[in-house]
Amino acid sequence: MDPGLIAIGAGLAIGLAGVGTGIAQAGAGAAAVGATAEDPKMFGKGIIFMALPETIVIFGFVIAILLYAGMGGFAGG
Amino acid sequence: MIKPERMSRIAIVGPRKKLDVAIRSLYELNLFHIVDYVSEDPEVKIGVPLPQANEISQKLLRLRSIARALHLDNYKPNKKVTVGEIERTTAQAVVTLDLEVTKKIENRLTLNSRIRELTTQNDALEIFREIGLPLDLFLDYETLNVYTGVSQESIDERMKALGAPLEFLEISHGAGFAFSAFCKKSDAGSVQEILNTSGYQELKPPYKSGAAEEHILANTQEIEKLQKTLTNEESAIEALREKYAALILASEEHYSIEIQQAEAPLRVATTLNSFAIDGWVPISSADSVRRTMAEKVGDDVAVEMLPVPKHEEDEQAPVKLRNPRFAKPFELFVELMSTPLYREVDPTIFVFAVFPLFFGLMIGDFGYGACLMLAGFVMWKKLGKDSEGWRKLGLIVLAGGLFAALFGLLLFHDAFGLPFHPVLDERGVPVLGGLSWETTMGIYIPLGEAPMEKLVDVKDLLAISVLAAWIHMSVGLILGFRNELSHSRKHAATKVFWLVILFGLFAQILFMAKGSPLRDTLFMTFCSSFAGMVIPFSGLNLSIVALSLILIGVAGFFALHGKGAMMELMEILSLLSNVISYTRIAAIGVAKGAMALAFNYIVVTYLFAGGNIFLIIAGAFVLVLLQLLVFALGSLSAGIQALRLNYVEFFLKFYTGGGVSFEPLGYKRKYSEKSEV
Repeated sequence: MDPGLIAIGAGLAIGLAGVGTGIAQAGAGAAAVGATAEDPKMFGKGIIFMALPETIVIFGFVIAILLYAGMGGFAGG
Repeated sequence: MIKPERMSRIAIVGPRKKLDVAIRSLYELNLFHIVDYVSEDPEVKIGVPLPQANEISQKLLRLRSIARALHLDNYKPNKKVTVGEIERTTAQAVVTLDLEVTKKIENRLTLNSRIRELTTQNDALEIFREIGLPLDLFLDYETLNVYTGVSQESIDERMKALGAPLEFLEISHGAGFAFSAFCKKSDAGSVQEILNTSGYQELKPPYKSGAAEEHILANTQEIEKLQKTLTNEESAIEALREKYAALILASEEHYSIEIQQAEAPLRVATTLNSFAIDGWVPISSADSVRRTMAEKVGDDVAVEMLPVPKHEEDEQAPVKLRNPRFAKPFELFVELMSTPLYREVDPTIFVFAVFPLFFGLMIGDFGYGACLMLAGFVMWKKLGKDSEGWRKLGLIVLAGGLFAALFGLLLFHDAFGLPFHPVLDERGVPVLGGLSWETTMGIYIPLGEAPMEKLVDVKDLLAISVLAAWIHMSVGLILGFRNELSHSRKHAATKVFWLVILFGLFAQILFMAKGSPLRDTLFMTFCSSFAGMVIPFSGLNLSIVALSLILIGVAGFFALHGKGAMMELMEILSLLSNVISYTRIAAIGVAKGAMALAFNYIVVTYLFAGGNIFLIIAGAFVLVLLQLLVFALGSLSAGIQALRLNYVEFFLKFYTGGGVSFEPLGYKRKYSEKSEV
């Protein structure tokens, strides 16, 4: 397949995953800050809820790397 | 080390007249976590505060109000005051201060409000001065109405258009206009209507006679005089503050400690002639409690260990974390999440082992690592002087920075995002123009080719991440097994099956991954014995052994939980996503490294290359800013992500939390010190 198309795919994978994470974190983050303001002990749990959606962008990263390697981006793939 | 300090429940029983001494001795010991007595028996009641409690709380009330009046919240006195001095001098000082401070603060209020009043008057008078009529002309007409005021918009034209006999004068004032209007009472209605729609603000002359200038002059003189008095009062208050601050803070602290002790009987069971204090003590210190009680209180007080059933101990005993000194700072992260339960493993030592490692891998840069160590050192030594939290955080940052510097120096060979030697991709083409300390800066660092290049060997970094995932989560599951063992065999066995599945997933990922020397080494280490047993499936190698391990785990769930196993099955997907989640170690490392190199590339190629001196100076400035940005963003995200891997992927395998922290009766003196009598 055209390496250019693959590169676009890799970009989309991480870009869209980033958007998804952003949307998810917006809600979780706002709620976490609210909870921490009420009770500082919630900070730890807040971080967890806040950081949970970040896995989504990591998925995007992994797929992007696999695609990039697949098109020979690191020359070793 | 792995479990919190073991506790033993102790009851101290004695004659009621010794309650005071017993409580004081316990406070001195700082070892006794009291359990509040809840009154159930009509014969055994909650104790009453010691007789001096009332007097102390009144003293405290006055001390605190003086402290507030003198703004002592952030005052740092330069000496400590002894308890003897507090007891000798506080009573007199409070009387003096009560009088003086209250009087001076009232004076200050009166002065301030009078100055404000005069200033407002002058503002108004200024308008009358500009209009230029004596003040008495604005008042007391029988047939005329007078309007004076200020408005946002000009009303000159609308007034003139009215056509009624009218004396109207408008001048511009500040951002708007000031005006005066004299009209017949019969025309007042229409004038009023224009004013109402113009959003005007009415002004009355502050004096009934005289010229505005004279009043302004007199007012200004009075304001000056008042201001002088105010400055005097302020410096008098400041002098009082300087003189008494140390004493007030020390007394406030001392009497707070006293009131705690005086009110402690409210947590104790008492009868007509005896008392019983119930609480927890670390087993290792039980003897010293007994000895102190016998020495300081006397032989008629008995200290008894109470036998507590194990499940009750597990539920009620307070938690005192017990870690070696070097791991202590990391208790901060565990407490931030939640205090462990008494029966649980305390994960501090594991966080200590793993956090700096993950953090260091993500930063992986000698320059940033060294800066972090410096920052950590400052936090520890400077900010940490007054705050335990900063001290711990400083040590954590110091450890993280150390690992970051080590990985940067020995593994990735780069500093400030610039590699030691030009980075070549595997076709031999230099990455981003081949920038490096050697070629760009002319500094040769005698370390050969980097064992791992962040921007080229991404797959090796991914392999490290997956290995970290397997080891870290396996430890988590083993800890979970240990936590559950005394609790429920079934749940403990579930953890074993999870371990089997985790290894299956790990092996299967190794089978599917390709093109990384590190992956090959891992594969040979863990999977060589069953490397041949694969089913090719649309280009992927599915390992029979790895998949069988996962199936064994699933079968185990069904054997243990019957239908409930369906829920556990869903969790296999989350375990897989946990494994992938560790690739954030690679992701942050690559992203941060690429960002730094890109910034360096932009500055070096576009700003430094031309030889234009202004561009070079601007470039140096931009470079520092961009480096700071990468440093701040990188450290923050690496810290949060390393913490998250501990909290989410690791803790959730075994941790419940929600324990009660061990808070012994005791106190810390900051401003006062005990006098030896």
